[in-house]
Amino acid sequence: MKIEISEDVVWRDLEGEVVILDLATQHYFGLTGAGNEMWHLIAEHGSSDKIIDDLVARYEDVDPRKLERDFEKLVRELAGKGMLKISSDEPV
Amino acid sequence: MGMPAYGVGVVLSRILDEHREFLIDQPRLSAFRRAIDEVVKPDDVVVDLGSGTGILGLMACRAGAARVYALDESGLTQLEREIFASNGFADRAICVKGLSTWISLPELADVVICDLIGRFGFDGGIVEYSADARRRLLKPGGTMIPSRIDLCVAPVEAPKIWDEVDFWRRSAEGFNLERAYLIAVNTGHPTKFQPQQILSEPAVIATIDLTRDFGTALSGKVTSIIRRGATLHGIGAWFTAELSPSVRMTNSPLSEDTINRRGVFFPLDPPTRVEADERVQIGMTIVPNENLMSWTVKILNNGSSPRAQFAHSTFRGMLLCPEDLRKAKPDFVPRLTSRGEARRSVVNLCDGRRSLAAIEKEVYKRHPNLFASLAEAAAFVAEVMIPYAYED
Repeated sequence: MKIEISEDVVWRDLEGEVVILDLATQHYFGLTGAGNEMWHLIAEHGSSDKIIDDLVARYEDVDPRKLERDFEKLVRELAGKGMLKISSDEPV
Repeated sequence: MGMPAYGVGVVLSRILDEHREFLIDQPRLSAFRRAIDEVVKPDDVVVDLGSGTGILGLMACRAGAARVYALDESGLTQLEREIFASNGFADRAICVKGLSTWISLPELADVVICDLIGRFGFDGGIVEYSADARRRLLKPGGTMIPSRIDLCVAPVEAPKIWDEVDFWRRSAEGFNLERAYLIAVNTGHPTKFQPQQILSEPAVIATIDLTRDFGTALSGKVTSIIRRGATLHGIGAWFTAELSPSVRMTNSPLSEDTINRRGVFFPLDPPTRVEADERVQIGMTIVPNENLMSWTVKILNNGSSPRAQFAHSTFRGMLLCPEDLRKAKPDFVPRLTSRGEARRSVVNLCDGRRSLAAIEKEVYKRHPNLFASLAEAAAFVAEVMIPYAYED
């Protein structure tokens, strides 16, 4: 599964928060904590498998299925807002 | 009575200097003169947005306009009236002080003129002001000058302006200032390009059609072919404006008739060597009314995947503070500071009955901790009241 940040979306880090702006819609979105970390992994890897592997390695004490569910939820929410593009027909 | 701060001489001389620069720019004046002569017909009503010293309105009067509404929010309005009068056009020029978006006029115009084009075709505010004027101040079928603006880009080798960006990676007095580098590489830098700095044929990345509405954002993608081996420091940007069917005005460094206005340099981090015949893909998304934009660059040699790519945005270059951002969140519950309360007092006291002196006195009395003297309170009242008050 390939996950890309939409072309019109710009973002930056600001004191522990990633602030995301969709230039096309002018919508702002802020992510903190694990959401912040997931966004950076999306920017770095662009692939759900690699990101989940990375998250599992980082959070050894968290159930991998929970991590995967949280990640999928975030990706769905951001894709629904047009901030991410998912280039696969399969569900996340 | 509090004297409005912008009336003082030191500031005015700076404003005059800026307008002198506009007025000695012969290619600019010539382009507007030719366009106005082509478009403005005898007895036309003309509106000039951001009229400054009134030069474009004077040209419209000379072309036969029956009336010129010269709108400008700066303190030049009275000077402009006197300039119109001393050129024999006092009876045809109506100079109004204020932002054009706040002003209503008693008649619709045949022609709206606006040179708030900026350096890259949108950064002077023309999109917002023209759209508003077209909706409210222009007759149906009336003419906009300019009617369209092409935003032009090309890869550039620009070591000198790059060095000003790179400055922030060096220390000052032994202190590390590198955090500012992130701002500098995500900001447009005004600069004058020399033709030899342009590394490919320029391309139009987006066009603004000022005769119709468009969405909030413009975007475009172009691919340029590098002419010679060089260091690619960034993207050079400028505009070409269509002032009339036969007149174009540009600040392109490659034009013989270029006007005296700098273009904009958008840096790439890091500068990268490019070779002749390599292709450089430039993408931009621009939100004109917010002065926000992003630029992406991919260097494509022979393969399909880029050998280098860059993504920058003025959003990353903004001087954002978390405290300001928190105030922009929908669940923020605003409360007024003591200065905000004083501002509310001024607005409430402007009830159409009290005199200015009475309002100043009352504000001073109600907010003794804010103002050291009645004069200070008066200056505050003037600042709050002037943009919103009118006289019968």
